[in-house]
Amino acid sequence: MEKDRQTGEMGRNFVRRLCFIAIGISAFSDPMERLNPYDAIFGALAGLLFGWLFRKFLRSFLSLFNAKFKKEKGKKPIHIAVDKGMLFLVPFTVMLLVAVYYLNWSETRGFVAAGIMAVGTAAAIEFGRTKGKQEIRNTLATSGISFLFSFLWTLSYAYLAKAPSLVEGGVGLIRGIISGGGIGL
Amino acid sequence: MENTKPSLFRTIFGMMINPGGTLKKSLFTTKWHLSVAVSAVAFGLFFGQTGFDLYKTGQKGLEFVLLTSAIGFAYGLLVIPLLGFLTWTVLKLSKGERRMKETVSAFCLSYSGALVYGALGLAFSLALGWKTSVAFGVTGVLWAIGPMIITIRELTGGRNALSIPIATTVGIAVLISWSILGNL
Repeated sequence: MEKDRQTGEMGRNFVRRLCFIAIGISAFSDPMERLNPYDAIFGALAGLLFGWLFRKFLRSFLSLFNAKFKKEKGKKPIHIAVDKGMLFLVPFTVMLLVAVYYLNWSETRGFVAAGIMAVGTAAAIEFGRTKGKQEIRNTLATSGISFLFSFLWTLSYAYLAKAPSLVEGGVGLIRGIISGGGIGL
Repeated sequence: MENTKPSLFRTIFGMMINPGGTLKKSLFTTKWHLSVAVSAVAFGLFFGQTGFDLYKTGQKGLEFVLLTSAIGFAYGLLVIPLLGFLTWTVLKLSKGERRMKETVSAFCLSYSGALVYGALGLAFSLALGWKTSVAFGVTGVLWAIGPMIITIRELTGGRNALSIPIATTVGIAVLISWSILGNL
């Protein structure tokens, strides 16, 4: 029983991380050079950081709105509900991968925003199932956090999208200096 | 206590906001042909806007707009219920107890969000001249994925292992078939 629970938890963690890595890589990939390693590494890290923050906030707000439940049952049921809700990202991530790498789209924000909003609703529903009743305050809390993160992604994407090329330029400059070649003009 | 029947309008918005709760109330009361009409009109508006966007840029004529609307309508009328039927077959194989009509009806209703987005997109397209097929159409279809997962989960008694792969497959099928239409 305990082993099954641990396996389930590990599986959910793996799927969630994979989803955020795939989201980050797809979102920051350059349509002219899909396999650029700088874009991929930056995208994976940005996706993981975003996912980590999003999960933390969802957990914290559900705990905050259900202090009595947390006191009685501990924080574990809240964490499990959020992690199960995170699985709702899978269809959006796979569709995003198809859109970017098969259909060659560059506009990805809609997929991420819809996925994040779906996770918020799902986390509230999962928690409602655990608690035995669906409460509007939990739906409002998770939807509010999801809306905030969806907005944050959309807003920050415009600025962050420039970062991989700046990193690549910086690395090129340092390499040039180290190899003694100077700055190529 | 009297069991009140929710209106179709209320069901459509309910499926967008609270699909789990709405489904419990409306699954046995919403007529299947009204549910199929929801997906038919949703895809008629979505595909129609794709044609309308191409018409605005001068790439296609007005007859293409009518053609894409008709294809979209047929898609929502036939393909989506067919996908619902296939879902019911999968659920039946995994010992699901829901009737075929209920599953197809619930599946079509999960496109309620796409219908609302499609209607809004058409309004913005006509009033402000925006190109709306991606901003409203694709967003509407994406928005339908969440309710679809919840719908399948409700039909399977809360099993994510079935609902997520089915919703992923349907989402990809819709995305690719729509992109084929856009390249016609």
